Amino acid sequence: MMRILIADDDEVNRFLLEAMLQDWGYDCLVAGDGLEAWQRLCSEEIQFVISDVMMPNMDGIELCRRIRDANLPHYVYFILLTASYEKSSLIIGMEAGADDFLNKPFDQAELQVRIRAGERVLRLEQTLQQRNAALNEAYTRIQRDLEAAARMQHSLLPKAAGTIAGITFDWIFRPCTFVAGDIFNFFRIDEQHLGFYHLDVAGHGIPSAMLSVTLSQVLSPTDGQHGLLKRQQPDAAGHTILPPSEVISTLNHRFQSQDDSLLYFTMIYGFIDTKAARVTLTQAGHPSPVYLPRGGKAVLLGTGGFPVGMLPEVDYETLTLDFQPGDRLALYSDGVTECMNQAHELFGETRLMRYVEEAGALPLNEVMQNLERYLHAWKGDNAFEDDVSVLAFEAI
Amino acid sequence: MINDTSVGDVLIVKPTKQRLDAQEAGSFKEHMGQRIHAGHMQIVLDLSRVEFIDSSGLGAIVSSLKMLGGNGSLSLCGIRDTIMSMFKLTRMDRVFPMFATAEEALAALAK
Repeated sequence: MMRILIADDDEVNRFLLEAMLQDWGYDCLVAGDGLEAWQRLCSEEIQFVISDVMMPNMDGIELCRRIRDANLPHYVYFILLTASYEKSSLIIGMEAGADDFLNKPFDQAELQVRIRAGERVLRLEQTLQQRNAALNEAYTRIQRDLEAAARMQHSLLPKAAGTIAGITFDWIFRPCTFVAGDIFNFFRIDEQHLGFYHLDVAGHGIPSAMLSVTLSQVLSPTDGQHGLLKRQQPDAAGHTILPPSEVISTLNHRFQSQDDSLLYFTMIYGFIDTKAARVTLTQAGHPSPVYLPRGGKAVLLGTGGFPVGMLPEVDYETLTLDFQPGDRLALYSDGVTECMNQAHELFGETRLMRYVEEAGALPLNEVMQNLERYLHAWKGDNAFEDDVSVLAFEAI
Repeated sequence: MINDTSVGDVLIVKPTKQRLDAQEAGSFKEHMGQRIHAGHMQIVLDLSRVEFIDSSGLGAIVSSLKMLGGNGSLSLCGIRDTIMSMFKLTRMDRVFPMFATAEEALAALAK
């Protein structure tokens, strides 16, 4: 039952109004002036007020103003009863935030329809508030889940930059939303070999991030007994490191996307043979890595390759290069080269190569820190439109 | 916005937006799907207005090819240099017949 508070200093008017409202089935509260009404509004949940203008202690206009200023947790519908000669109180009352007006002496039927109109507004307001609350709750939950997902994804990256078996590595990772479609890793496969990959799932957001997380698990050297990267030899004497092209072909077969799905990824997977000082890698639709031989000129490696999961039964090529002390290799996603500045100019491969070359004398960690700053300065703001990530390593 | 022109049995589809990216990929794929289901099996995709294609855009083009299911053909034309280098990087130049103009694509289909 709707509760209505009547504020009027005239006892007769108050009595008549109360009887009328009770007759129509409303729950009625009365106050002899604005102040009393205000006190009741503060202590009880009242959503509807019918108030006279002229009252001692606090008039109807002031009462209305207070209600609006108080920012109550619920809306209060306010009808002001004005005498027909008080033309100006209509304007002042509206300014104070009154919802409706009724001239005294008022017509019963008119009052009834105006109260009903007020009830409709309150109902709408209530529905809106419920929906907002539900949305807010959902939003908070999604935000929390995304933060947890981002933490989980971060935990899959190499723990810290450092040196393994004579190879120093470092990286940049800047997802454009909470979670990224980019993921990479650098790890030991066996005594002699270090594996590395950098991959970028098409699109960004949750589906891409979920696939990137799955892939990082699949590509982990501890996945299964030997995982995707090694094969046990029949005589059980040891294992063979599988060529990168074979690893990527297996992924292409396993992660073939359905016809109606756009989910595929580009990647580079390879390994470093630390004894032979050689790098072997396969480029699957991923941007060509930057290779900087010690003291030499930076070059782009490879001409491309099919993305993974896009088309079945395609062949992948393997590329091999010398990797002597002082040589560097940088893998990156297209979020780096397609990073656009305010003048709509792309960062591009040439700029990246030139930077890597010019920074050749700096230690690798400084090269990466400076590159991240460079990209920020290039972008001009913090809102990268795509995941930005770089994985670089150097033989020492 | 995507413009369609029929020339005989061939449908020329021309996206008029500058970007075929994550935002446009869905509606582009839907458009292609409708045309293919309506029976258009020979399609020339005119990319002369398109200045940028991202991974989602590329996915949408390849999905269209898959929707044709090997019974039809999807040729590309009007490809700008920046987009061509992305097509080459991903070996799409081995998947799609590519032509300089829609006329050349039509002439090749007529043979």
